[in-house]
Order: sequence, then C-alpha cells, then structure tokens
Amino acid sequence: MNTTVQVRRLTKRYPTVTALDDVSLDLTAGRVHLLVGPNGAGKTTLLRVLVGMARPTEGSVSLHGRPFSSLERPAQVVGACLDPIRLPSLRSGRQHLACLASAARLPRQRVEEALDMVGLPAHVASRRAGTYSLGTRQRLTLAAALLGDPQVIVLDEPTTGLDVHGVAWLRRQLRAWADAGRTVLVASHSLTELAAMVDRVLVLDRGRLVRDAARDELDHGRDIQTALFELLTTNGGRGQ
Amino acid sequence: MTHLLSAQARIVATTRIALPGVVAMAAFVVLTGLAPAVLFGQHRDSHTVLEGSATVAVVAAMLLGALQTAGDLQNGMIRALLLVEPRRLRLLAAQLLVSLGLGAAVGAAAALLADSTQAALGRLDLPAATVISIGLGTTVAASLCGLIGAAVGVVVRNAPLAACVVVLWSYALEPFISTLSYNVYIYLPGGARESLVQHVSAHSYIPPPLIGGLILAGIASAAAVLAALTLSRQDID
Repeated sequence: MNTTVQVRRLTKRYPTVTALDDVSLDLTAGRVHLLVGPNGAGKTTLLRVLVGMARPTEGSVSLHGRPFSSLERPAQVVGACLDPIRLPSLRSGRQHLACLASAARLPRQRVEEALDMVGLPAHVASRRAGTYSLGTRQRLTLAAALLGDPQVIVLDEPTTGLDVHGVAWLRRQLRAWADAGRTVLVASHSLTELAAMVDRVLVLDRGRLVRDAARDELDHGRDIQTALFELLTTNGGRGQ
Repeated sequence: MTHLLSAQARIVATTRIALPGVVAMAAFVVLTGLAPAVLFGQHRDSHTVLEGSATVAVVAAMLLGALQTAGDLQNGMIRALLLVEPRRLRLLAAQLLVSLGLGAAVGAAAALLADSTQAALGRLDLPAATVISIGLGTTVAASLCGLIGAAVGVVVRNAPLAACVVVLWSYALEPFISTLSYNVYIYLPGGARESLVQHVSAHSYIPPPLIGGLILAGIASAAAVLAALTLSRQDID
C-alpha cells in the first residue's frame, strides 16, 4: 500500500483548548478517506496543519515523505479546499485562479481547465467573486485546489453550498480521483452525501483519533450511513 | 522568485485598490498645487509645494501597501497563495518588493505631477538639479514607505485598522513628536522624508538626503523583519 500522507503524534494546542491530541494516521493512494467527528472534534485543525496553515505544537506531518513547507511544487502534490466563504471579493474568479497559477508556476491554460472541471461557466468566472453564491464559491475553491492536478486532494466540508448536481458531480469525482491513484481526504459532518463513496473512515473526537477503519469493517453489510451514525454516536458523541 | 513577483503584481492589479488610490493621490497633488494659486491668488514657493506632494505620495504609498497586505490576510488570499507557495518568507518578500515598486511609481508620479503643475503656473523657480533631486527623494521616500506600509499591514492583519494606524501615525503622532523634539523626529519616517526632499529649517538640524535615505532604509528593514517574524510564527486563518 502506497502511503502518501503520514501524520505522527500530532498535537495542536491553543491557549484554551487542545485541538489535536497525539494523532497518528496514514493516508494511502487510491483511497477516499472520510474524516468525521462532531463539531469541534479537530477535523479542520487537522487539515490546516496538514497544509501548513497552522503549526503543530508537537509531532509531524509529511506528504510524499516531506513536510508541506519543503515541497518544491506543492500545487502538484496537494490541492486543498478550505473555507470557501473567504475569497477576495474584488477580483473575478478567473483572475483569482490566474494569480494562483502564476504563483504556482502553472501554465495559464490550467485556469480554464480547472474552471471547466468544476463546471464554472465562463461568464460566471468573469464576474467578481464577491457576487458569488456559496455554491459558486465552493466550486471556485475546488478549482483552485485542482489547478496543479495534485496527487493528494484535501477537502473540508466540500458539499457546503453545492446543489444536488454539484454533490453528484463531487461524488463521481471523489471516486474518479481515487481510481486514478490519488489520495483523497474529505472532512465532513454530513454522513448522507459522501458516505457511499468512501474507502476508509477516520473518526476524531475532542482532538483524538478514536477510530480508523476500512469501510467494510464498519458496515458489516448494513447501510454505511447507518453504520457511521452509530459509530459517531458511540465513539464521537459527546452526549453519550 | 520572479513567478511570485509576477503573481503579486497581478494580485495588486486585480485588487482594484491600487489604481483608484494612485488616481486619488494624483488628483490631490494637482489640486493642492493649483488651488491656492488659481482660487486665492496665493503664491507658495515651489519647494513647499514639492514637499507637500512628497508627503501626500508617502502617505498614499504607505496606505496602499498596508491595505494590500492586510486585505490579503483578511480575505483569504494569503491562505490560497500559501497552498501553492508554502514558504512564507518568499511570499512576504514578493509582497514587500511589489509594494516597494508601487510606492516608487506613486512617488515618481507625484513628483512629476507637482513639477508639471508648478511649471504650468510658471512658478517652478528652482534649479533643474534641485527639482530632479527632490523628485528622486520623493520617489525613494514613497518606495520605502510603501514597503513599511506593507509590513504594517502584515503585523496588524486588518485593513481598516492598518489604514487608521498609517493615517494617525502620519498626521497626528509624527507631527506631535516633531513639536516635542525635532532631534527625535529626524529618525522617524516623516523626518527622513524631510531630509530626502531637502526640507530647509532655520531652527532645526535636517540631515542631508543620503543620511535621510539611510535612516528610512533602516526603518524599512526593521519593519520587514518584524513582518517576517509575525508571518512566520502565526497560524493563518
């Protein structure tokens, strides 16, 4: 099994809370990994540490054997889609991608390809991002993640704001990316939309990894959504 | 590094702050150059007018730099950039260099406009060498202050707050310090700017332009180091 992402004894402490507590996990190529957990479990913090936005207090993260910050062409290794709400509002979606393509040393044609990939029409891409709906912002953020045709794809709540066609497209894409040998990590608290596409489930609760299992270890022939719901309400349910 | 500079220049061009900012600054320079003479028949000496335009250029350059970097931190642009170029100091260097360049453009434009306005009024009564050296001084001061503004934006991380810091510093705190002690003021950006544009004072010592330039370069270097420490240590939202 080709391990592309290694997380070792990762701890992230903020002044008042420990967001991640001694988390270790491996992500493998060709798999869709679903990171689930209740609100405040540490899902977003894990993704932010993974792509260098937050510094770990202890432990390490490596992608293809190297920390994110030392990758030579990071856009071609990792594509991440974090918080789509915050986008520069004054420039158009196309200009936003062109700026990123330029910084990533990617040819300009990748902008049009990425827009095409996420189904963002040309006339919409020419409008100011400040006028976009949440779903359109989500598509633009996805396009930015896909600019470098990365080997590892990291998505935080990617279905937020997407319409039913968008969710269907994303489900197909997750599978297609994994089948093409890419590593896919999706953080979500929505069990209904993406559960059917996953190969492995990682459950975080209060910063700790409480379950790391292949999908067939979980469902035992049942509906995967039901299995995940039971898993979360026993391992990750704070009300239990 | 050139790809980052190119990306950052594209970001500045598409943020739609730079062009309106430069146009507003140009209009202000022309108006303040023309209005006293045309409206009130007042005669101000050319040196005072050129110094005034340098002050406007320096504040405009600082504001543009501060709004750009603080805005990029606020609106998620820095995060998007760090996903494709995770070396924060390289990214910061590109931001600071582009602000330096934009500041130089602002300073040169202000100096040219002020010279042209005075020439059009027939009141440019300074020797050509002095006009050129004041223009160069304005350009150097505005470029370094553009970099300082960008560093302030990185440290403050909030565009409206960064703008307030720049305006209050330039129009309230620095003038106040100059009234308390001119010997301290000459080591501040405003005092260094006065050296660069060859301000003349009968009461206080004004260092020569070269010393003023070195003082301002030192302040800009310190601001860049502070911005680097801030950006490299903090988590990005």
